[in-house]
Amino acid sequence: MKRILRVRYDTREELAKITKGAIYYCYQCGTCTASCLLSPVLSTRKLLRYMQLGLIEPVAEQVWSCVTCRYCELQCPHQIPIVEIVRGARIKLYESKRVPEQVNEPLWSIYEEGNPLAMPRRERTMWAKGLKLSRKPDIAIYVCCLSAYDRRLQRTLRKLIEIISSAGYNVGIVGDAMCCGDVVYHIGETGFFEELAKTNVEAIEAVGASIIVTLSPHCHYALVELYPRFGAKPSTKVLHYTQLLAQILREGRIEAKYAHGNTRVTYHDPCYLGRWLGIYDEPRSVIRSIEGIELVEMPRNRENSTCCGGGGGSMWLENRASRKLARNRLYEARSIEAKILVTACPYCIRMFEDEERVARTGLGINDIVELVSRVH
Amino acid sequence: MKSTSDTILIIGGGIAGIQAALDAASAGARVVLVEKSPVIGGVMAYLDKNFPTLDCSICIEAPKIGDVIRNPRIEVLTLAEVVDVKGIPGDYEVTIVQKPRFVTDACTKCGRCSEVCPVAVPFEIDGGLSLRKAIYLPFPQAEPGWYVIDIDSCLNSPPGYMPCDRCLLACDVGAIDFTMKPRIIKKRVAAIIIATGFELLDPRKLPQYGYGVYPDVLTSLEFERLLNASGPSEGEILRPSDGKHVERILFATCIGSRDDRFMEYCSRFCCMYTLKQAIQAKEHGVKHVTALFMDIRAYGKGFEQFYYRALREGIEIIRGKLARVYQRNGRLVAVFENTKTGSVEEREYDMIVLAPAALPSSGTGRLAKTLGVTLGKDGFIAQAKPWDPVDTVKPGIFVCGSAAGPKDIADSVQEASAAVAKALSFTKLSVPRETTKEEMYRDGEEPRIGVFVCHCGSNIAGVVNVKEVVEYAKKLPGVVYAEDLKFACSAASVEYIANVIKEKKLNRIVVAACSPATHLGVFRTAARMAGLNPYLVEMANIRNLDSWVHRDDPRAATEKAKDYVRMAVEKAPLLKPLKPMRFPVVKRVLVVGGGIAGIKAAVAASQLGLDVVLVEKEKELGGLLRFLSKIAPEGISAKKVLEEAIEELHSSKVRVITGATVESVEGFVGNFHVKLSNGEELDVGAIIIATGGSPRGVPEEISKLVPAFTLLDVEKAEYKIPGKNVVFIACFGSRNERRGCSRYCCTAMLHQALILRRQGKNVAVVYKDIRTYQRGAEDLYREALREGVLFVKVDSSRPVEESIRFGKGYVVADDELTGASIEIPADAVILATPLDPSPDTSKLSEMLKAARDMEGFFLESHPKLGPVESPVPGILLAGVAQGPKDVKESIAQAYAAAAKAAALLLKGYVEKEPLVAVIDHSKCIKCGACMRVCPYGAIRGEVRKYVEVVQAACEGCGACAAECPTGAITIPGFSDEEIYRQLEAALSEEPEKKPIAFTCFWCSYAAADNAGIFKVQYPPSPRIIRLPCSSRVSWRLVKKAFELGAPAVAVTGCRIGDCHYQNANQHTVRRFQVWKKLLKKHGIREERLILRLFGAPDVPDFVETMKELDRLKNEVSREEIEETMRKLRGVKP
Repeated sequence: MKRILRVRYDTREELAKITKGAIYYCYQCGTCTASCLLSPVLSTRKLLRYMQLGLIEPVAEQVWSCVTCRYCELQCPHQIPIVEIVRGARIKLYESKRVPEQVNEPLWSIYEEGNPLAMPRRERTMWAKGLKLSRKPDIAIYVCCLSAYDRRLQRTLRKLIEIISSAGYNVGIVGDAMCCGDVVYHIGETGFFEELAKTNVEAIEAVGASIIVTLSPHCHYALVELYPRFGAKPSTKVLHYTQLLAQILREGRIEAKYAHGNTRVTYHDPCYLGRWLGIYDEPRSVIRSIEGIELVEMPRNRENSTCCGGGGGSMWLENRASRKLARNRLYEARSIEAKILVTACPYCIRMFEDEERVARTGLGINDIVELVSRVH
Repeated sequence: MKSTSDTILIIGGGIAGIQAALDAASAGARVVLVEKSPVIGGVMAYLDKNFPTLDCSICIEAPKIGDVIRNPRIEVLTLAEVVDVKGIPGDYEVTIVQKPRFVTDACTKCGRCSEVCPVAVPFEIDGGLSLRKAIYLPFPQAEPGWYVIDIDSCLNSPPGYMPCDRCLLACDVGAIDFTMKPRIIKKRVAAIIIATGFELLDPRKLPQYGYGVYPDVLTSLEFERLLNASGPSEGEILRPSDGKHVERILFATCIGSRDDRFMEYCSRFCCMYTLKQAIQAKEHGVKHVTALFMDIRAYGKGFEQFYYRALREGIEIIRGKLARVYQRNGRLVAVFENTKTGSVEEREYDMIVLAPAALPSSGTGRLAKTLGVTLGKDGFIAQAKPWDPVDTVKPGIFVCGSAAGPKDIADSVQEASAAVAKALSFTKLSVPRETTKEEMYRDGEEPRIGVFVCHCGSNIAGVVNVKEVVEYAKKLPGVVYAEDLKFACSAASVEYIANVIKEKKLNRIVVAACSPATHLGVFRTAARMAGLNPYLVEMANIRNLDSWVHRDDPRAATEKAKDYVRMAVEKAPLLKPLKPMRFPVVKRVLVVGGGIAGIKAAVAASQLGLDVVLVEKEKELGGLLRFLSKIAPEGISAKKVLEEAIEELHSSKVRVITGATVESVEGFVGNFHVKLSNGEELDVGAIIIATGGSPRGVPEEISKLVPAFTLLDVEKAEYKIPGKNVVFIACFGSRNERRGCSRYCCTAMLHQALILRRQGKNVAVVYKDIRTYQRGAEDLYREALREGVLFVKVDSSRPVEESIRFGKGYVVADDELTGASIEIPADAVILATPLDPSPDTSKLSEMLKAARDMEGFFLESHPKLGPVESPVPGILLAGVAQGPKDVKESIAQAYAAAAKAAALLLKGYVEKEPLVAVIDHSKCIKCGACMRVCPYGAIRGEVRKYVEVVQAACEGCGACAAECPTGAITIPGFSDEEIYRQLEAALSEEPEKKPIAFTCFWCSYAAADNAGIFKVQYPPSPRIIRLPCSSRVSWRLVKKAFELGAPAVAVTGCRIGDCHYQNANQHTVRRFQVWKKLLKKHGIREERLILRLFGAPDVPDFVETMKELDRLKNEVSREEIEETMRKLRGVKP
């Protein structure tokens, strides 16, 4: 062994503080790395190892490839919050300005325009033109930045509003919402994230709806799990739209049917909806209750689901490894002869669609909402 | 404590419960042994082999099972559970519910019931890899030995539901009784011992490993069954999915252990059995064997060498943890990271074996509630005090073995004996009354020999044609009866043999089975039961010396078996009935060493009614414990433990002598005469050696570079260590070619590391493997991690010294986890140095003739089942004197030694094997040659005046018999005449094809046995003759062998210095030169006689000797042999 590395106790302590001591507890069994969907691009074990030694330089590059899918955490015998440790490393690197350029763009865009897509703030609600949205809604939708600006996702959103309305609710939106800040959080800009949390919770409270419905599991996680940690807890009940749909269908307020005849579909659990929030059953119950749809499971489902490659800032970092995740998932869906890959997250839809253009598997990529062609 | 009951209740019939029952009974208590399942034996009965000895597990357990079943003072209740306990210590009233077995003791194990039973269910012991019927016998040697009906699967359940009754009709003896009802049994007992053991976690709880989904993913216990000859694949490693042989196998450890989602603790024995299974897989011909470990916890005696052996055998040992298993194109794929290379492996395997966490036996919680004892946070029975291994919170109720946390066999039996020591002090003891049976044999009677040929399942019968051997035996002279038995050693068979002896009026029996080393005692018991003198039993070892080693040549193996049977049958008529020599004992124990082990042993022995003298060389009692501040892992005050112990000692009747050492010891078990350095002389019946150990200091060259301390220094300094940055270095001086693991240090070191860390220091630990195997110790490791002790992992397979460099203010260590050298700031280093034997060990060992192991500690009589006894009867071992261990383990062994002393001495006499030299004074010319060669000075006399044997001192090596010019001395069972008979039998047909090997019972014969255990194949031509020692071989025997036509002769014995009889084998070496000259003189090629010296473990040397004999045989022509026979025939000895 020629390379000599010096243990830096000061940095070690600092990293331990940021991660609330989590780096200490790892006994380096390698289960995380062996489980990591991005292996061999990312070695979470080594990342942790270097951090244990107080060294951040050796991990400066690979730490940005983590898609925060949290698959490793579920496998960890010491139950270490590995994604928090990744975030800890990013915070430390952010402090020393060791950050890839692509990270800055979405940050600046959120700062200036309230969204990471460099789209004008004033265009955020343009998708709703012509819709009759309630000013005093029962249900207010917290619109994800992606859905707000992406043509395809806009259609999905409108469809969702139509369905909810037909179930007899007054639907509105959290008009003054900004980006939920999920990406800000994982990039490690804690101060800014805190600001976003406060602003968004204020916006939510201002609407006065009894239920807030999120589109993106990332927004949902930020609202229900992260904001409260920063002292900004929405007082309103927050539901993911799949939860709401499941409830509406269960109550028999609507009946859903698929327009194009009997079709075999499979469902991809978005990481944040599944592993982070534990919402596995509601999306499935919605799919199952759509007439004409047959749901089949991929070999890796629920807790063992893979990732679209879009989380943790990867949407903007655009690396090849995360693209590969999307492609593998498409192949997996094909392998069980599904016609449509259904999911419930704007990131997933975006990643899979982009990849399908190249991979050409012939799979349809749909949001759950899109399966509902007719509502009674 | 006033005891009103003479009975101890033992709950659990595994090896711990069995050992406890035997010890308690021999010390004079009665025992009720309650077992939940239909049979006793526990998990050990289902294991194929034990680590690190590779003993056949059931083979060494079955004799103990048989002893329990046959002991009139032990009542065994199977299918039984304790449901209620009332009363006070010394007088508990317990209520036991015994479920019906539906088969009575009339059962003859014929098996017809099982054949006709229409219900087949997965056999739980084989993990469902095989089927059993609703009426079945759990394993062939099972005891109690009658069948059992699993009523939940039976069609007659509930009776009359779907009347089947097929078994009922098939049973000739009417042993099946469906009207049996549960029994409620009340017992008054003085004390209770919990020995309920463990069970394994169901790996289905970890779905990522695919257990239960992929049939070729097995648990370790299922794999153990695959290895076992009576298992589902009859000892072949076959894939359950398709029955094909396995080429690639993966072993994965810590499945649910050391895992915060399941069991946080370390399951302690998995690392070692995984290494063992890996070695066995390799021996079974599996080409690629991989084993995954996080830390290789090879902490026990001989374990480290076992790890090196695994490496030598080519097992791929990888640091890593199995992440998941999936199937790809029909093959299993294992995913894990090799943390040394950092590469993520996705490898295909034919079979994956999981080592699941050990859990408390189901029902442990309920039992604890019934008994009013508590559970630890790990769910096992809690100990009342951290330093006392067997006390529960309730006086009079004790715990041992895996019921108090997972433990291997050796640690379990040690704790079992310890629990007995404690329990006996609550019990009213009585000397067992002897049942002497009238012996049938009268001198001069015509021989009536019975021959029993054992199948040993398929171990013998799979190779040797047993029926043919039986038929052959029937025709031999003197044989009046011969038959074959499935398992001759099972208690039922032993009873059967006894009946046959009585029925057929046999006066000699020959059992053709396994090794007399392990089983002669069992068959002597059969004789004793029938009223036949036990010394009229002879064995033919057709397993270890034949079927196991000539697997590929069944013809030759069968011929050899016939020869061995004939050799035994020819010898048998010359066997003489002997009476064990009985000597009264002094009911006094000498404890040597006044450390914690010595003190605890002394107090315990004294409480059991023995007179105890404790000798300590220092002025002060307490040994090493005096210097410790706290005891890991709990961090209890060492001072408190020691003060309490000394207080106990002073209030006991133990006589304490300080400032004195043992100067000389003479005598033997029951009657040792000891001289002390203070001039005092003592007569004692047993000696407990508790001389402790001494931790090695810091090498000077290191102190020069950096302030350096040992763990002991840190304890002495009460954790005041200079500097901000501290680096611990584990295994400094241990775990190399000379030394194994020092066992206590990892836990002690982490305890210190945590204390220093809490002082605000930067603490790093450089380690090879963290071995926090003790109960509670993994918690300490987890705490040390959590609180920020930095761990730096270096290569496990070489000494730590090669992976580190010291500098001014730093230590550089080669960290496997980054692949880089890590420079760690170090204001001070703390070395975990080895615990060496105390300096007096070698002197004491010579005095006591008690052997030492390779590392200089006292050797135990058996690494698994005899960890407390030395090989010398009456010499017991306690604490570090026997090998490094922590305080709690030392105390356990101390109690155990006290229990053994009680069992040995309380009945007032000891028996000694009557195998001592006998002089025929009509032939003796009083030349005194024998006196000169006796290693024990056991032959007294004056040349030309008188010569006599001191029976008590004679050990029976036979050096005198070989030296005697007139053949006036015999050793019973090994007289010239007896050995001639064996030679004649062996060489009666085609002598030119049969070289002869004379072997020493203690080394070369044991090596031959071991070659069998390891299944090392060698040419079948040599015929082996067992002698007590190579020094028994004389020119007369060598000459006889050649004269009868042997093509070649090998004399084999221990290496010089390793002789079991002091130095008797030096005479062999001397005589060998003489024999060579004599051969030359008679014109016989001296190359045909060889001498080979090697030890019991040296299987390769033994096998080489066999091959050499075979080569020599091929070089000798028929003519040459005939010429030799002619030349020697006229020669006088």
